[in-house]
Amino acid sequence: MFESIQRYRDYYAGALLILIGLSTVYQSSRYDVGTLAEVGPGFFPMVMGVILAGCGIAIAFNQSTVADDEHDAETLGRPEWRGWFCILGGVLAFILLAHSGGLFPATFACVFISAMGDRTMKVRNAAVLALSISVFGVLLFHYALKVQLQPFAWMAR
Amino acid sequence: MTGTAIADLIHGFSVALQPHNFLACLIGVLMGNIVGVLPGMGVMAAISILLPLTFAMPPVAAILMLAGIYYGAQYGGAICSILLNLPCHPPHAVTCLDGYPLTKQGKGGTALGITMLGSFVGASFGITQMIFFAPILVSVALKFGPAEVCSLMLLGLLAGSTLARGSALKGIAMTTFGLLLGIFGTDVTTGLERFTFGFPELADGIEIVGLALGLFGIAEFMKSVNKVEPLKVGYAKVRLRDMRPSRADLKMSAFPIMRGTLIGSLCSLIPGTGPTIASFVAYATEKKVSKTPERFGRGAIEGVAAPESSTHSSVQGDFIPTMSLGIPGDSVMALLLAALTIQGITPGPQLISQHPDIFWGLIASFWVGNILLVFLNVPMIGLWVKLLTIPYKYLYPSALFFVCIGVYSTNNSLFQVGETLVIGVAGYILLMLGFHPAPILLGFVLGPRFEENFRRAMLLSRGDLKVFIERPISAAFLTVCVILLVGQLYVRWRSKGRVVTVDAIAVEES
Amino acid sequence: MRMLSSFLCLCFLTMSGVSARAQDYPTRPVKIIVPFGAGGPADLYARIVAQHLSDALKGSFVVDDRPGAGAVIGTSEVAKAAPDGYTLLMMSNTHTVNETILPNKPYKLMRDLVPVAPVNYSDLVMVVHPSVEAKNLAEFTALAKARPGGLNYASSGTGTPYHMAGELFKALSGTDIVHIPYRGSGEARNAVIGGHVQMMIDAVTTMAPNVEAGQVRALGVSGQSRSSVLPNVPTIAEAGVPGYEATIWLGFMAPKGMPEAIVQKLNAEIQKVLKRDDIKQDWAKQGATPLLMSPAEFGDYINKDIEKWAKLIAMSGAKLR
Repeated sequence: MFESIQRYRDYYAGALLILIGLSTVYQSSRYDVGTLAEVGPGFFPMVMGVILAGCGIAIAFNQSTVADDEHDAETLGRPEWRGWFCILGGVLAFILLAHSGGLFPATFACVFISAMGDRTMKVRNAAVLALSISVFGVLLFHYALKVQLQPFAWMAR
Repeated sequence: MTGTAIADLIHGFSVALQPHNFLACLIGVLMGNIVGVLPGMGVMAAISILLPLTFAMPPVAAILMLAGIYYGAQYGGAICSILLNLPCHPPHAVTCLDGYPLTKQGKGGTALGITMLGSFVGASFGITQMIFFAPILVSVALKFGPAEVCSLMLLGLLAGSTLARGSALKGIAMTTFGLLLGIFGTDVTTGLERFTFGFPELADGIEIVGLALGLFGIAEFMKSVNKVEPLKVGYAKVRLRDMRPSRADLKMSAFPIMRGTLIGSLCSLIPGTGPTIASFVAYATEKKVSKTPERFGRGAIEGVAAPESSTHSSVQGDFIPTMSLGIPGDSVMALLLAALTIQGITPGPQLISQHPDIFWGLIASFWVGNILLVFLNVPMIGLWVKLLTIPYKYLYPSALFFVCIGVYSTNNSLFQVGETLVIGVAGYILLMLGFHPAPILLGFVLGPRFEENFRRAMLLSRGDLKVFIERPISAAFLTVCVILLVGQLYVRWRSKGRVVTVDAIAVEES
Repeated sequence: MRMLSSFLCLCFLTMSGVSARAQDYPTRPVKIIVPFGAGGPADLYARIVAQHLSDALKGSFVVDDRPGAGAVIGTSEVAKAAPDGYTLLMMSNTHTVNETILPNKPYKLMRDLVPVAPVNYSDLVMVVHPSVEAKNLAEFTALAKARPGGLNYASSGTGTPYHMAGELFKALSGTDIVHIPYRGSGEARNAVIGGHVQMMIDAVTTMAPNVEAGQVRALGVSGQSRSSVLPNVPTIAEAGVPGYEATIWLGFMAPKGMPEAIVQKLNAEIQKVLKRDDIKQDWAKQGATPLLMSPAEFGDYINKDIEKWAKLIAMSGAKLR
């Protein structure tokens, strides 16, 4: 799958830009474009949308964009579904738990889940890492820096 | 003026070095440094934590401490950018571009060393400027009306869209995309909410900290998970001596540091431009004036020295309009002003004459603080660099947590942590398609100011476009824009011609 | 007779039961949500009052800044919170203006919240750049009438109290001055000092040093009586626009359903804080005057304010969504 992305990458890139550009133009037409004396809120987004779509067309058809091998080698390769889901899951866990569970559970969940994204990570090590970061985090952020999050939600009741 | 300034400065030092003032300054810079190292951790949040403490303190100590947090935070910010490719705060996003490649080449410690030097020089210049040139600079800054700022922003956008490596076309697309993201939120001129899709949390726009950490943090983690090996190269046994920049490095950094410092000072005076814009402009300038622009993005030391110097000089320069006019350049300055007001002191044109202790004590404390920071940070370079030997699989989950809490702490908003997440995913998709994220940040910061000032200029001139050319400062910026554009196109045309010639020669020889 | 007395006894007992609860209040930390940015006047005064309340009631009053969407985000949080007395809101006349200009927000001020106590009000001052050929308010009004749509005034944003103050002036004086919104009062001040706009209405404390330095000329202050910070400047009402009054005021509210006893207790304590000599002196230097009202009076005050701005906005057609 990644190989096909690489080959047709500029087509995909161009297509994405055209899509964003056109939807921007559509959305900004619903705002008042205005006159030159009173330039409306819709004017600039519309221009941006047109430029984006234009760039998209240019990129898709102008295949001689500078080849950046180092960047490619870094970005493409095997799709890392496990890694990605764990990273995103970790952030999501933080968002869901921060108010209902508190800083400590949210931190633990965030670090633990995202750490498990690494294929070579053992569950025990992830747990230890998560625990130490949680303790450190609560001490630093709640007590020292007075961030407005209770370590455990039940402490606020 | 110069004569009395020196005498006043000496008086200022006598104030700043009094034990309780010195202690306040120390606590401030220490706290600022810590806050600066933590990704996303808001300087605003830190200042508002210490604010109640200052009610009980004498005004001089209070302002020294709060100011210390502000410029102290800048010192910590470069560390993660260079070593981990994670900008702690938006002004340091640009430092990642060349800082991280340097780290990969084993020169991370050197990069940090140069950063410290550039930071100190930048800050010192900003301070000196404040002492001697404040009145002139303020009067120049006041001449900047909407037309001037608009033309300046245009210049910045044009210069910076070719900031990152790779295709110029993709750079322009990313700058435009950033501009578009900057428009999300409430329109200043009409109060209309644009692109908020019904979310009141988006009424104030996308949070810049979330944007920076999403694009440079989450997207990078997604790119690197399971792929990155710990950088054992050159870091296994690190000694302080190894991290000292070589003479060659120093020579290459000298002019960039000077240029960056100047750019930072200029940016600090123009209302509404801050350290972020300063760092981007400094980087773009270096790339433009360099004889070897291809090196940028691959570990050019100038690309680290210039932005960092400009950030620091801009931060120190930010105090000028605040202290001399009572006009805060950004929300952090507004907070400092409020702290002074509570103490019964209203900054303004009379501050220097009515409260010389505060003004000169503050300036002297800048130097004291910066020296303290250099002493704090330089020995720590070794420690930070050791961080790199920790396997990536332990680093990135911890960094992810810091990103979450950092973004949360900026506005106590979990929605914004969610924004960061979405931006991170989008950023990774863009990376996969061959785009670079840095110009997005540039467009995001400069774009809204460009639009806002364009519309304001049109409001004031009642629709007359000529105002951009009639006002001299604006005309000057526009001229530079034209020169830039023409220059770019000319270079492209020439290089195409050269390629043909080389091919022709090759054909002839065969 | 016996029934009446036993009934009265019962009432007495229940009431003392209720006030016994109020007497213990607060038993745990009270959160004061400030829907404005850290360092702004709302935040600062909230912190000052919170500190004194914590001392007086031997409890912990903590300020939590939750800015966003013109105060809507923080306020809706309080509106949704449990009415047990442990969540309070610091609000200002931004809220009364919002009632009209933001009809689609998720709460209605007087429906979902109850007034507790006002805190203070601060005057505004109208200043012009020295290049404007008007030495006092009367001349300025004449100038503006002679050049409709020819003069500009700056404000810190559409829908802010400063914008509303400007529109009120235009409506009452019959002038047409073009509104130029800026992002925050810092930029607006820069514009008027730099001469890019002719006029601005800003907080008295922040503008006073610039007035004294001669960078701008003060034409009038916006309160009912002269400001202690600029005593030589007439009020706009006495200088030619009778009936003009536009201040920035702050006050506490709480979620609807909060026990009346706790409301009364808080009101009494806050009034005690506001009557302190050191508060009165410090705040006078900052241009703020304490406001002393009972919860019912405060409720009336809020309603009148909402009406005032509603009428103005309908009249001037200030363009907002």
